[in-house]
Amino acid sequence: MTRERRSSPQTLTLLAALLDQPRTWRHGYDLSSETQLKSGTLYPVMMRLSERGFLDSKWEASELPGRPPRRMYRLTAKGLSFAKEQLAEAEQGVLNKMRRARA
Amino acid sequence: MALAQMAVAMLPVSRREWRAAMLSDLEHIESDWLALHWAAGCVLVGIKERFRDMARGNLGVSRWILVAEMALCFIPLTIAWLDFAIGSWSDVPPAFAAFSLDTPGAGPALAAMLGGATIGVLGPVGLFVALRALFFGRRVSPMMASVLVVGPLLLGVLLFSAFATSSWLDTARDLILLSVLPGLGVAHLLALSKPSAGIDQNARLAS
Repeated sequence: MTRERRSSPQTLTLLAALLDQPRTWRHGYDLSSETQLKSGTLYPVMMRLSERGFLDSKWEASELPGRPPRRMYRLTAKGLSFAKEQLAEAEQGVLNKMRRARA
Repeated sequence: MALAQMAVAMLPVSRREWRAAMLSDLEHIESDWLALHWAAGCVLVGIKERFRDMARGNLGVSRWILVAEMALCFIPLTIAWLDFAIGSWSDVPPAFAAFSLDTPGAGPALAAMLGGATIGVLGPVGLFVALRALFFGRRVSPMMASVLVVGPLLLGVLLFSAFATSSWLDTARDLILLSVLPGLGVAHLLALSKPSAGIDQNARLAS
């Protein structure tokens, strides 16, 4: 079995935002505004998450007339457990660093 | 909008849905300034994904072109090895008559000859490893890759120190043919043998 590598800080930020409202479908710009990740960072991260089956997506009609439909995203069940695991690992990493710094 | 369209045009075909998603998000941004920022980010996504696709070796390059490329990278070193190992040694008896270690420059030249005969064996070895990777999908181990890169570089240094007095054009030619090309061949092989999409995505997520 291959060991999972730690996710990048940007991936963790996005996972945290998605985990915050796991059942809500959210569009890219909304996620970008919340996480402060620019589109150039956000989309590649979402692409990788989607390729791994962690991100579910669907098209939804825009609430604004005359605008194209929007793509909405949320974590899959697999993505939820991945996000929890990665965030817990990151938290543990920070705690270990703090302990080492104090020692 | 034109900027974003140019950006998404750079995205690989496999990312068609993402193209539409990015453009759709852009259409929903009210502020021109924010829209420009978003579009600039999309340009970055287009470039990143295009490079990623290229690095993955999805250019559809024919295997035979790759075989020709590997031959170009390793055959000069193989020929040099044959020359060092057979060509030069066959001339040794007559050459020895007039060639003594006291002759100025003879020591480094002899060292380069022996070094070339030893390290030059990486030419045929590299060719074998490259063809095995291309035809049987065998991965090039990190150890073998290091040897194939470092060996020819050492040979280049050896040749450079032994024949530094010869013309810079000859030295540059030898360095490119015997030291740089094998390194480039190995680098391309390693890039091609990277895991494809879906196998090791986590590694990319971490980057």
